[in-house]
Amino acid sequence: MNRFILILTLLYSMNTLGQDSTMQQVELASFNVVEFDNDSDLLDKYYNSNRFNLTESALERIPAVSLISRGNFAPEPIYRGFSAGQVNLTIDGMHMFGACTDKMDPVSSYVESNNLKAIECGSSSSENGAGLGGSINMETAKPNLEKKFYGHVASGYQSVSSGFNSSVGLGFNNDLFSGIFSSTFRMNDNYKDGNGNEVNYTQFSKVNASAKLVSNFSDFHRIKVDFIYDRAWDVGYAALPMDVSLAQAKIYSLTYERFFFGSSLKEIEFKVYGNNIYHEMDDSKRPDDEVPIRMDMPGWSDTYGAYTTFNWRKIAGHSFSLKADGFVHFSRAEMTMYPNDEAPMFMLTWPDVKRGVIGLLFADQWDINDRFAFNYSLRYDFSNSRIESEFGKNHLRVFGYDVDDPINMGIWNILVKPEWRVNESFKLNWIAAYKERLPTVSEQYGFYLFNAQDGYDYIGNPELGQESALQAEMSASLKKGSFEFGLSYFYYHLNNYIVGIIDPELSTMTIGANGVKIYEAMDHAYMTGFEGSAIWTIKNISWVNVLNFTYGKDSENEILPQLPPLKLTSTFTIKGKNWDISPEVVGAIKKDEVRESFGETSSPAWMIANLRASYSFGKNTAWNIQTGVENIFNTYYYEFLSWGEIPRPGTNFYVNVSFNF
Amino acid sequence: MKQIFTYFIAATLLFGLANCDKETTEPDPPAPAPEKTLVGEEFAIGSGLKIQYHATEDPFVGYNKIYLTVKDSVTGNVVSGDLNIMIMPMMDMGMMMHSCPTEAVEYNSDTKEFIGAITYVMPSTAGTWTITTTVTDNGTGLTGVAVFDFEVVEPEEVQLTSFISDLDPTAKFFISLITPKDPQVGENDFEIIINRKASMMDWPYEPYLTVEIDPQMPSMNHGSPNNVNPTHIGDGHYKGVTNFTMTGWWRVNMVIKDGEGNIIKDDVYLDITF
Repeated sequence: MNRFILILTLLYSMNTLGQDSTMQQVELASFNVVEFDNDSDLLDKYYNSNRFNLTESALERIPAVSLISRGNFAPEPIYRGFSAGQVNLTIDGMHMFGACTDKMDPVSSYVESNNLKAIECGSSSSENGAGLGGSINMETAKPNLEKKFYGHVASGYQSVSSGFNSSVGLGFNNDLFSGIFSSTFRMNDNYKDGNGNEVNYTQFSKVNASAKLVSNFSDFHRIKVDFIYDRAWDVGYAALPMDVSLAQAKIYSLTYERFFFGSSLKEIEFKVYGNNIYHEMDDSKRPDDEVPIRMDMPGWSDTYGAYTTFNWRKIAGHSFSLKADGFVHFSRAEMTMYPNDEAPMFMLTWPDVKRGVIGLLFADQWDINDRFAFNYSLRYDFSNSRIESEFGKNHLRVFGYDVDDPINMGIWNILVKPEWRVNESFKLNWIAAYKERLPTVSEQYGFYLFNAQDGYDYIGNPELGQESALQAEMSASLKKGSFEFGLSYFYYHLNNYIVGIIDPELSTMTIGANGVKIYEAMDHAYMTGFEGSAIWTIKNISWVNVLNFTYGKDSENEILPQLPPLKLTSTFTIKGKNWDISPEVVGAIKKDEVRESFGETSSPAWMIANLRASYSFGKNTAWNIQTGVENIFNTYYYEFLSWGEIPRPGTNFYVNVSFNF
Repeated sequence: MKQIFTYFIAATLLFGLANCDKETTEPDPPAPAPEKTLVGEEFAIGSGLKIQYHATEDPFVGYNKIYLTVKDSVTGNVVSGDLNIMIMPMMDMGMMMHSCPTEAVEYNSDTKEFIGAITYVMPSTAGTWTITTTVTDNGTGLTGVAVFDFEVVEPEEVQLTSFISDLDPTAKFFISLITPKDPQVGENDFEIIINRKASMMDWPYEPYLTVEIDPQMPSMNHGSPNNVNPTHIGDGHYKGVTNFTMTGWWRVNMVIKDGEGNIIKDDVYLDITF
């Protein structure tokens, strides 16, 4: 099953290829799959060093992923400088879209790492939908079939934000069903920065509950029911003029799997799913002198979809798969402003937009021989976007756009990925791809969306076409004794690069805004960079180093926005029988070249040190204590992608205690 | 096996397609025309006719469209014959009397109504409004006069503004809002009528002006794009487009120029709140 997913996703993962082949594999750590449930793995310590880390913190450990932070909660993952609509962020292959017009609720903020089995991340997959910057799929936890009844209780404290976290998990197995239930609760105050000052509006509270039921009664059929409920409240966004009083998601799905034996067809998976997100921005916690006008900005995002995948057994070296995929997404966002003693002002910032997408994917993993493999995939999506209500249409008519008719768009994603296993320790692969993506709802129909980074109101453009990229990538991996090295170099040539362009004719809506930008397609842009990793492992000691860098310019020769500077993470882990200790250094170089038209400012170099340890004891190591110090030297720093130069947390002591049974 | 295959493909595609099929989104039904109510009913003494005065709103300060139905006094049947109707509104303030702008009454054979307009320039709190309606039946040759006595109210939001020309201190102008009556977020037809007070009894419309508009939200300090300046469409009516990007309090600022482009007044406005 696991292999099925991996093959289908065509992940850029060393582990995925040719497990049947006789040649000994280069067993390089896969830096594109974060596993959460493999406690014995040294790399697991690297990814999931603190069990109460946010999902995004684990994501950030993937070399190609960086986070845009606007507060202390729900940072937005970007992949090699690709963000928002350029990256496909899914949960178990389900499409889902944040309900916040200001990207304050990326999909990853609605799942807990506690409830995840793995995060799969790759630059070449189009299994879960079209996108230029690859895909990030969060795979929810699976039942542990080894135990009849099991579970855990955990609780933790972190000093920097007086944060209290706790979680419980329960699971059972019997002849008919397996089930798991888990819940996480978090409550954090404002954190203190490296100078000991409290950073206002960095607090958050959230609760997450998930339940899964899987049938066991047949080897041929499997039925799964999934439900996730997530609710965050009182969430501060220090870098933005507003906070979030409520962010709520309901995510549910029903999956049917059919397994075949003795035929070339191996498996069919059919899933229907839905998710409903409600997100409420407000400024009621902000003092009067910071708020020129009080406002509420609720948003809704509802997605319903289904997909079917077919997976065939390997025939003459070919492993074919086919996926048909469809979903409908509805989004609406409102803004109501309350001037003193006057009529409230109301408008839609997402004017009742409905988008339907159907797609078809064909993929083949072709193991030509022991040395060569050739993966390729072809995906086509057809989309239909429209504004549902006359009220919504009237908004865009103000700019003279004809929005009576729906906008139909077809997009192609074509990929080839040859691989050459040069010898037992050295492997090369290449990716050549042509990718297209749809404009996002904001880019197509957004109405005066304020961007706090550059201080501009953004207006959508229904006349936008698809953005496309030609991708060339080369990766090498080498394993020699206790050393493993991996290096990927990539280059993307983008056409119709979508970016906000100032329209001096338009007057701003937001009080104090610098102006108005309309989404336009620039002729072209390019993006290039690399990810590198070096791992040294002997016995129970590992030293993991990862490095990433992205650079790119648009056709006006200006640097692209939100490209993180060179960043290094170096983690050293010693693991004993029932303990481990892991010092770590993380840092980035300074960033001088910035996109001024996007309100970016240069950021200084920074480096912090962390020390983590864990200890297990009791019968069957039932008890576990995790403890650590993050930012040991209380360094005052902010990252280039910290909006508003909001400082990151200072020294943080944490301790987590858990009991497993 | 094959069946399952087909079934799943079909199911998935149908699920997606079901939503694409509904491409013909029905346009929202147009807002129903405001209901007309009977505002007054008087006998036109001498003509054997009865006149019913209908309007969509009770008489208010501003541009009032009026709908007159003429009936036989005895039978009560609607008379659709060859009639001439003249209206003469008069404000009696005690010390003085004056009229206000009107539009000639014309017969609409579809609705069997006589349609005209009166722009009341002040509310009844200042005196008494009477509307002298003279009806001549061209068939019988009889003429009768009906006198309506209305309470004219000041509307919640000002619908009429007046100013004295910067070029000629004796010229007083009146601008009345005709549309939007039911403003929406988005594009709105913006129609006004401009009259000049030539004398107490003579209030002609002004066809040779230039009007420039700039809608603004005073509490937000912003405007809206792509507005179209009203141009003269006949009978002193000027029609353009004003765009509202949100609900709330909008102020449509106007600059009024004469036929040569000289500014008559540059700080006139009408407020529209919704």
